Amino acid sequence: MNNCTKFGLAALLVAASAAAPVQAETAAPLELVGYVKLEKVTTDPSGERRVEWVEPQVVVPGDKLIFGTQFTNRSQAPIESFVVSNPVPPSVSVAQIDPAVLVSVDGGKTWAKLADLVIVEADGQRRAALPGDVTNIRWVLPAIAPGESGRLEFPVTVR
Amino acid sequence: MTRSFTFAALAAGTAMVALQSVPALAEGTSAGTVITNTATVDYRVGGIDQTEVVASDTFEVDRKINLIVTRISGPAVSVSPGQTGAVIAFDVTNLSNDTIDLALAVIQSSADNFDVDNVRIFRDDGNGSFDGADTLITSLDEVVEDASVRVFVVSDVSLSSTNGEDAELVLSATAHSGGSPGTLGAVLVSTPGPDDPQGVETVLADGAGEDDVDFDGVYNAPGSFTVFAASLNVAKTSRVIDDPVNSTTNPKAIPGATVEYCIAVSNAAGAATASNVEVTDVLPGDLTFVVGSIRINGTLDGSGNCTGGDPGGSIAVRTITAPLSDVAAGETRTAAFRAAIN
Repeated sequence: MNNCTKFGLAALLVAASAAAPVQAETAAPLELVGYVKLEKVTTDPSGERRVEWVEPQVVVPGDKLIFGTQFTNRSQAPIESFVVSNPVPPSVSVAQIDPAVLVSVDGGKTWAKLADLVIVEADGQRRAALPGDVTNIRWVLPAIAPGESGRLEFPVTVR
Repeated sequence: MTRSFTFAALAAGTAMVALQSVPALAEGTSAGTVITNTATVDYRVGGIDQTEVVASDTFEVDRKINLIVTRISGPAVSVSPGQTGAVIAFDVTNLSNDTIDLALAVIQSSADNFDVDNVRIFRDDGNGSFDGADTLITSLDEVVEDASVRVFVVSDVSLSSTNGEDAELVLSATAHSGGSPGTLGAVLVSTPGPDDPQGVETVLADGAGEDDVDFDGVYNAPGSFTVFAASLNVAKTSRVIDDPVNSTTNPKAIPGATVEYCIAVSNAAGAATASNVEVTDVLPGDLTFVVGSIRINGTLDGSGNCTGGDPGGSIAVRTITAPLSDVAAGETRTAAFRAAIN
């Protein structure tokens, strides 16, 4: 199990080995890699249920995936006002959302924390927005120090 | 340094699973759909906006094959011996995320009382009931995602079948590739080996039906015909009711005596009502029919003799014909007539 499955706010500042080699200053200052991981559930001989996140092989509706973006500051200068905008593809449904992150449920027109958003149904009924309603996600990080890297992830289900 | 910005509580596995459970119907995203997750980053270095950076990852949704066959008719369709065109209706539903063809077959049980004959499958013309406008088929062509097609298993029932016998069968649907319209595609199997991230693989995800297993691309649904027949028993008795010597007191079968013949038609309990019942009897030689003596729709008295009934029936040459009213389950009707011994 890799460390992207160590969730929770406590993981926000997990110190890790210098996985990112220092590169020449001519390289792009910001390295960005998008990835998708597939939940694979296995049951070991003792009956223990094990969940692994693997490279997606076969993906069919109902499968659970992690959408993620890995970033690394390759430059010698700090990066400021780091804003990641991530539209949610229509074919997947967000399974869970960090209550602190900004999301949109209207295609990016308005942004708020999920708990502050309401959905107006076709019949006029209002209800609290659910993770599955999220259309866009936005992370804002004030600063990334030189050499620092991290991941931004969210779990989805293929519709 | 590595930082992990992730959503809280992914580790709370069970709660998340509940949130993520997907409906059983509607397999949703079509096979071949390309899903791309794109993140766009805006940032500053030294207070200056930098060129935005985009990262994405793409995969293609594979083909998830799921199908179900549901019997619409009751569990035991009532038929009569000799009935033609007995019908069991089924709905065949494509729950896959792709258009598929479905091969259909009827498999008769060997553990039942009899097999039906002339078994055919018809595709409903859209009105939901079997009629002359339906199409004889062996497969369903190009069934789109989530579409359900009504089909009819139609067969004939042997005249020799008897009340309470049953003929069991399954309608078996096998998923085939959609292929080109009008042609049954190849049987679908789960794609072996590793995935091609940009290709469409096949995953069989169907459930177990009658005598088939999970994930085999086949779904069987059972149905049966149960024979509901009349079960008639006919008994003929005779008694001497009068002779020229003893009159009606202990009469004997001597020349000149009158004999009453009693024919009782009984239908067993639980059987179908018998209609158009007609009793015929050829009068033996040495007997002379007593004109006007035929009584129909009578009953048996406690001694097993015919009693009651109405005038009716006819005689032609020496054959007596006595039509009876419908004989319901558990009911007995009689025909009686008299003749004199020559």
